[in-house]
Amino acid sequence: MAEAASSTIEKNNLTLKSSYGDEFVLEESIAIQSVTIKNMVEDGCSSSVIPLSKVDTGTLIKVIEYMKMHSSTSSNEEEIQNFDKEFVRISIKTILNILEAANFLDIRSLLDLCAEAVANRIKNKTPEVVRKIFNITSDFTPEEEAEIRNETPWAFEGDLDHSLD
Amino acid sequence: MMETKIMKVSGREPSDIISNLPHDVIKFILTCLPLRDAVRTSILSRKWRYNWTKVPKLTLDSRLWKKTKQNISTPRVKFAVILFQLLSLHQGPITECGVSISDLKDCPEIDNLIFFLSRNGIEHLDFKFPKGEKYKLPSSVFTCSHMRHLTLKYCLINLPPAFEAFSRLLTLELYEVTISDKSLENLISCCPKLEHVELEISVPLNSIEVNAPQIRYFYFGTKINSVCFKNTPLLDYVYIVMQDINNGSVERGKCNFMEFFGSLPALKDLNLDYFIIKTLIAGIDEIPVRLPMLLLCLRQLYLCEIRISELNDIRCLFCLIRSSPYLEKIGMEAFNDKGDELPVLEYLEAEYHSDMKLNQLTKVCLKEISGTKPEMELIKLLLAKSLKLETMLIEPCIEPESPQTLVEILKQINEFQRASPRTKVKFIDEV
Repeated sequence: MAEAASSTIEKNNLTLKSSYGDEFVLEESIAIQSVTIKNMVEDGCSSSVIPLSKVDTGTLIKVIEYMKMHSSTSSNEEEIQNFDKEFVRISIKTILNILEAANFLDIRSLLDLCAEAVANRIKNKTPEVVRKIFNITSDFTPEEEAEIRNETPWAFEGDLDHSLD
Repeated sequence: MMETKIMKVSGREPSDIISNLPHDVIKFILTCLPLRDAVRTSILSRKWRYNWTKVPKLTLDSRLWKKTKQNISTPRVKFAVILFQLLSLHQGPITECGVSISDLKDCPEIDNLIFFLSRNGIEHLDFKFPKGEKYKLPSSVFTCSHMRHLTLKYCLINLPPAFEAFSRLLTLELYEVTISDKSLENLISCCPKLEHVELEISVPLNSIEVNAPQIRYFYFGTKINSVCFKNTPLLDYVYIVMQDINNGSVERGKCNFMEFFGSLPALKDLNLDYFIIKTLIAGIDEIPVRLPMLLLCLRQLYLCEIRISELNDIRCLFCLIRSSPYLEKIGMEAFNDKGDELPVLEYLEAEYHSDMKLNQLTKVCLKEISGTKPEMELIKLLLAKSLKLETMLIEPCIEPESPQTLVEILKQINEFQRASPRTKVKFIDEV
């Protein structure tokens, strides 16, 4: 998928370069779903390669796949919905990478999609399970934890989900 | 490629994959969570301790104060505690807030919340107050200059004299709200960007004049004598079902039938009931053949509780049809009024022999049809005059005293001439 440098690119194409140095040629009309890229194009900074130093190759491939689907005129609403559903059926680590990229690239709908997917892994779960899912290490003492629970007890009451899925 | 990267970093313990994300990203995730879940992240680690306090969106509903094994306080007490904790811990702007406390009896603390929100950049407010005695909306709501969406249910609104404008408001939705004609009229006209209005006012009103240059959608389900439009060039959806206000006696509205449509050049979808039509035609000598200004955008017309046996109702219907050359759909719900059918039958007969044509009509839907003579003549007329009609949907309402049985109606309709060879007449079975 990686392609040659800017000289051979047609006028309405852009080249995006991942943090690993891989380059991807993409139609401008698709790429400008990213407000960050759109601003670059409008400011005339896009004549050569657009370096995305915060986005690795794997993540960029996913982001491009998303942008292509969402700019396609041939797919209907239902197809897009199904695509979105499948799109986030990936590891939580990958979703978080895409989420960060979507934030940097300023693609609102992708941001919402991924944030919702991450939120779904937190919803109704006990803190212990959430820590496991995201590899968070607690640095509170048991006394401190008790204090936090007391601060907003209503958030910790009731039946919570102990499962990891 | 990514997997290998993880492997390299994680020699011993897998590293935290979420806590070091940019603040904005964490905020996005927390905003997608119900408040209870967001607040629970405070215990994950020191980094997470106060993350939730910066979420710009708060949703407070009964899920927060339902009884649990650990806490059997009443919802009323729990809500007050939660509110106090939220107000003391939250930091930064709250742009969106939804509160649904219809299940609580009363709640004086809600004033504090509204005051707090009014000073923290609220843009989207959706409050459902307790049912029962109407909650008096505090004036601080009207100082929220950033407001874009306002939805209120079960409250009493007095527009403060000092209220200037909601200069950014796009959507206004009031349900089961008590408000005076004047306040409502002023509220609407003080929102220059208002596009979408839904109103179900719980007290009868006399009249309002809608002055909203950007309005596109107007839904009005309220007892009122008169609704007039002034300066509404973009309004394309109008729904007014006012119900019988004076048990049959109709006062003349502030604007008449012709004036009502004078300010609706963009009207695309019109839904009216019998009662507003009555107020619109009260006091005019004769219903015109067509309106002085044609409704060139009108595509859908729906009339509710229309008396097909009353000459004036039928005249209004045909005035609207003649004034809307691009009308595609007509829907009607008939209300059976036993009166003198002769004038209507004569009128429909004359129309049948006239050169009237419905050039764009593709769909007709008739509800509550019992097979009266005027109904049958109307069906006959629509079938004979609609060149492009594709479907005529009939929802019959046959009772023992109905003039015809379903089979008789079917037989009769089969014999009617059809201007469009493609017309299909369908019956929706009664359940």
